[in-house]
Amino acid sequence: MKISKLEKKKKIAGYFFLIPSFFFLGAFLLYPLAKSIIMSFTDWNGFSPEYKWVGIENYLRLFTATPAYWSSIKINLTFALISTLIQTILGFFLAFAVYHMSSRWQNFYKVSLYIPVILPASVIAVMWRFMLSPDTGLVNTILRLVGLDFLCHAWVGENATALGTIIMVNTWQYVGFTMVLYYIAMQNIPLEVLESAEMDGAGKWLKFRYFFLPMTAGTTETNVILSITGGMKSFGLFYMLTGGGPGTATRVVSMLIYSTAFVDYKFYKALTMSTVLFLIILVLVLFSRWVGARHSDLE
Amino acid sequence: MKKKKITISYLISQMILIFLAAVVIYPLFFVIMTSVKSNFDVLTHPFTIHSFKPENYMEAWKIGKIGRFFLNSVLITLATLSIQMVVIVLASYSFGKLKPWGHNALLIVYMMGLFITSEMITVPNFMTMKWLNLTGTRLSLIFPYVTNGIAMATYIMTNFIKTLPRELDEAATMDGCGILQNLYTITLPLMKPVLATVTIFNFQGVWSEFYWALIMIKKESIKTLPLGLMNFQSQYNTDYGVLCAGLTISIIPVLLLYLKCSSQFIGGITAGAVKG
Repeated sequence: MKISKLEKKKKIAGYFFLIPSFFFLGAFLLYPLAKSIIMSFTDWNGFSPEYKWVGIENYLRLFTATPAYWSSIKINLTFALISTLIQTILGFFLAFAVYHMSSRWQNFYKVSLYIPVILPASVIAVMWRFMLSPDTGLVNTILRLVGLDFLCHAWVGENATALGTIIMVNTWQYVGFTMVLYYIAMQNIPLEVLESAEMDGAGKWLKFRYFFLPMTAGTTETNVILSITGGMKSFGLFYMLTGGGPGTATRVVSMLIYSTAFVDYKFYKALTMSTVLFLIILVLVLFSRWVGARHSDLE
Repeated sequence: MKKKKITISYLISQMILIFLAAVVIYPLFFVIMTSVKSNFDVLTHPFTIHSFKPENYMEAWKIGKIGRFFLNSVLITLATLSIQMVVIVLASYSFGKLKPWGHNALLIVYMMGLFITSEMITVPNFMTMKWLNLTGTRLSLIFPYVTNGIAMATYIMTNFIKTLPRELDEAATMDGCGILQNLYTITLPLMKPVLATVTIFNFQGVWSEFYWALIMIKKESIKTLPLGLMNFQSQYNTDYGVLCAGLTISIIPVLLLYLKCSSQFIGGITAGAVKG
């Protein structure tokens, strides 16, 4: 089919409409991405114009002689996986409960549980530091009030509780997001389907098992991917809540990369670290998609 | 319709939800309440108010420089959002309606932004800013911030534009309407819900960005709120009233904006999410 002159004009104009966005993406996203990957094969320190090609030496050294990186990766993985698990399950059941409320309650829960999502991580961190402080904090005060003194901790200051505390704060912030996504997915389940199942005598459990769970599988995938990538990239909450401590118990990869690049000025090392992190996240995303695709085939 | 009867499972889920909503809202309420109390009162009566000290806000705003940080954040957010919106609307209109040759492949390039971590691009961006002689300026924040919001927003907005009826703009083009004029007078007014969603998403992104600002900005006078809060916290670590006043100042504007657009916002996510 021959396209009209008008169509042709529109298609050409389309390129002009893309110029501004492409300028930004090219200059501040694609170019730096390419440069990061290329420079991770050199000994570039970030400042001198001279550098030499070292092949995969940086990568070899990262894999064999940089245990700090891998212990940080482990912290990230623990954080990302546990947060994802709690958030997804809790978010799903919250959405399921909210779905069965009257519309006024639905609105109330949707709006109120989403509030922490919109607050900056820095605000959340400062707020929770205040509430988790060992002597005067709200959390310990309440525990003492109800006679659970033995549960009082220095929360972000103890090896045993630091990571768990950050996971709780992170869940507190984002469970509303997971819930709203599930809620929207449940709203999209056609009412007629549910009603006819009800006519056939299906109770809540059967509806849950055969409609709500499978028909929100796509959302589960989205939630898992968003939460895992978020967990692997997390920086602000850790930086401001624990500063990576006590010791290095909560030093996530992004903090290690930050200090390697901008405190030690070992740029080539930081670039190698971030390239490997990027690959790890990519693998996790592809894996989640693969599991998601397999799962929807089975249904 | 379903008959309304109150069952035990309804009561249990209602109770759990109320409890969780309280866990979410109470800390915010607690911070706002503490912000008008004297330090002595905070320590002796943590849960009730026995003093009224609005001076906390003066102290936080002026001496704690929260006012300065706040205005810096407002300035940077406004500048970023206004550039971003023009850029994103143009791109989405192109992808959704004009469809230049190869637009599907191009959209995938745009989507890459969703997977790239900020560490991947920080170091070269740092070098670019040095080369442009912009390190430590507001512009050095604005350019990357505009970029950060493009991928997600273009994706949501393109999906939305595709759902708009074709007949409208076809009729308009017949009348000899120019493409830009067409976008401005016909498509843009229909895009209100998705504009609200994208605005809140991108607002959140810029308003809370921490990593890049930490690297770029060293000068106290142009620090953004997330960065400034860090100094503020160490300064008022044990002055709880002032600390909470500073937090309240950072929370309230976002909260009001959110409550005002919340219905449109959640509608907008739906619009973007349904058509995948």
